[in-house]
Amino acid sequence: MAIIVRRPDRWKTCVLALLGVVFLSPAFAAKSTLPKGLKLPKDVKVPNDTPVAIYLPANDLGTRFYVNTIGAWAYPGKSLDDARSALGGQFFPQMKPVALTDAGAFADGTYGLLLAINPTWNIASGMLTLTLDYKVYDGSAKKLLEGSRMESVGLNTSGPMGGFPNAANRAMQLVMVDVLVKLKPNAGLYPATAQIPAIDRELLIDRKKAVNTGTAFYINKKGQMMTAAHVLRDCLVLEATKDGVTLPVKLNASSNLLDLAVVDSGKPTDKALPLRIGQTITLGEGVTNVGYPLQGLLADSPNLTRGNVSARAGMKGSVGLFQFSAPIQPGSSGGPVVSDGGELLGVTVSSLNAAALIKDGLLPQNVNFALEAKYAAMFLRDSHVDFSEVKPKANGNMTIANEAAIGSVLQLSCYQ
Amino acid sequence: MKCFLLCLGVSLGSVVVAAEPAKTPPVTPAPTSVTTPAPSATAAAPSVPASALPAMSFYGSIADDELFDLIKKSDQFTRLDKGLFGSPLNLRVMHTLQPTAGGKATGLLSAIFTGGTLGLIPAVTNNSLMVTYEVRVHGRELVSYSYQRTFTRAVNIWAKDETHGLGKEGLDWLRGTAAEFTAAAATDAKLASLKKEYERYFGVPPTN
Repeated sequence: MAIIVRRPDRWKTCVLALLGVVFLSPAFAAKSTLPKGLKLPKDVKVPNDTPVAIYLPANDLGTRFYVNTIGAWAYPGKSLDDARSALGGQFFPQMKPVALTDAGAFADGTYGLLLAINPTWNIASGMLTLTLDYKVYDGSAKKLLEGSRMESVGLNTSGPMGGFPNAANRAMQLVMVDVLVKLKPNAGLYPATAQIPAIDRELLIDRKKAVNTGTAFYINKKGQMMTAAHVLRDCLVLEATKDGVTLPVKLNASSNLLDLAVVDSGKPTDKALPLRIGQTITLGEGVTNVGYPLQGLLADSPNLTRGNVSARAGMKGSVGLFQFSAPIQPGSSGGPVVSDGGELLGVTVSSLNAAALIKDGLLPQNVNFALEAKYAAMFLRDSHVDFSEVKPKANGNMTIANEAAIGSVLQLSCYQ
Repeated sequence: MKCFLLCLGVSLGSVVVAAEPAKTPPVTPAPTSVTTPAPSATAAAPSVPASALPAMSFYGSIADDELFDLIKKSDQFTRLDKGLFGSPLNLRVMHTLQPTAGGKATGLLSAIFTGGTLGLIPAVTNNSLMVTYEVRVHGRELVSYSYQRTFTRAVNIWAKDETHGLGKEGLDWLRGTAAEFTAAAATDAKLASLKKEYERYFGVPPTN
């Protein structure tokens, strides 16, 4: 009786292994997942060895929100970030993000091509549309390409709010294919000679609209200003405007915990606000608040409101805040709360969310919060920023307060 | 630029920080007479470890009571409090639960069988659960730890689910992530720096 021993079909193993290599390769992944109707020319290498630096505004990358109707979180920002990472790995494995460090500078790295993208999401009739406006620069900041790509998908594709990753992936693919097809880049044409920290920020920002606006005020004669830290988050370009004159300003010191920051205009002034010696606050004393609220809706002139110190503490759990009744609006953040003697009592930082409370049947009126000047003084000393202190004026009045407050304030604009 | 936000009617953090809505505290009538119990040696308030982080508010998108209790047991988060609406510090536990790629096809087929048998056959799901622990300071993320796992479970559609849709295995895993997070937080340099800065400005909170 013959015993037949079957050898394993080695050829099958080899074929499977080969197919595995082909299908799992980045080149195949990049080409096989291209949107319908798109093809890469044969002379375009994928994965591409061009050292690309890619910029997306921090505000867009951090976007997320809770959708009450479906009880789920939607992450448009993460979808953009994931698309950038995944597609960057497929098309441009050497791609590096252009991102700010905690110190406010760009992280180290070099590049040959700079891709700056400005996303806009829109939802209408169950459809989600992502538009990516983009610009491409070489290492010498010469603009090589500019365009816009749009992708619309069903909002709930692949589960609740699953349209976000789909739209981000497809739109990002279209942009990268544009770059590959129109520039036919490679590392020889665009070597990694430019430094990411040296990128001109004007190339990246969207000048059409500031992502944040707020209020700042001079704290010393050197032209240094104080404001709320949340006004300045992730700004690439910061500007202060007063009476139609715009000054570039730089971040000098910041505390997220205090929600306080100092920016430097480098331009001397005689309009700085002094602090009251000892930074005492009297419950009920009159205050003036000046700010630049509702940019785009109101004229670009400072808004002055009057009120009084209504409580020595803020909401339950808050620290360092007092409550005041002078009305404020979005854009008032960072503005000064000034005593009738013209002394700084606090820095406007927040307000009760009236819209949320109305849902609970409550209508708050003029419940606003400012950080006490004593913490501002500690912060300024810690940051080695000059400021002056004066004795409380016994015979202060509204005119003194208004002149001091209006003279010291500027509008801050943050661009990404 | 962010038209869709307006369309949805949700806020992503305006220039002025919006505070959480205040809840009206229940009105408690004042007692007409008070009997003060004798002080007891064992009735002293529990002391707070020196390593405890400053008081912070808490929000959990899933199993928030269970996770809150587990996290609060750790030395770092002894001062965690759900009612601190105005605190600049906030611990958020967020989750996403989505079917895996295979789970979508399986789930659809399973749902057909389950529906066809009026629920006699349980529905089979395969979901990926990701849970993220974030400590935020004035709404800005300071530290973030994420944990992810995939679960397959058979769901009897008529049975009462007390596992937040995760199944026993999923809920046990979720509870385990609380211990992982608190262990990681204990050695986190950014949290240590936050504690130092907080105590610099607002003093060391009382430890009992």
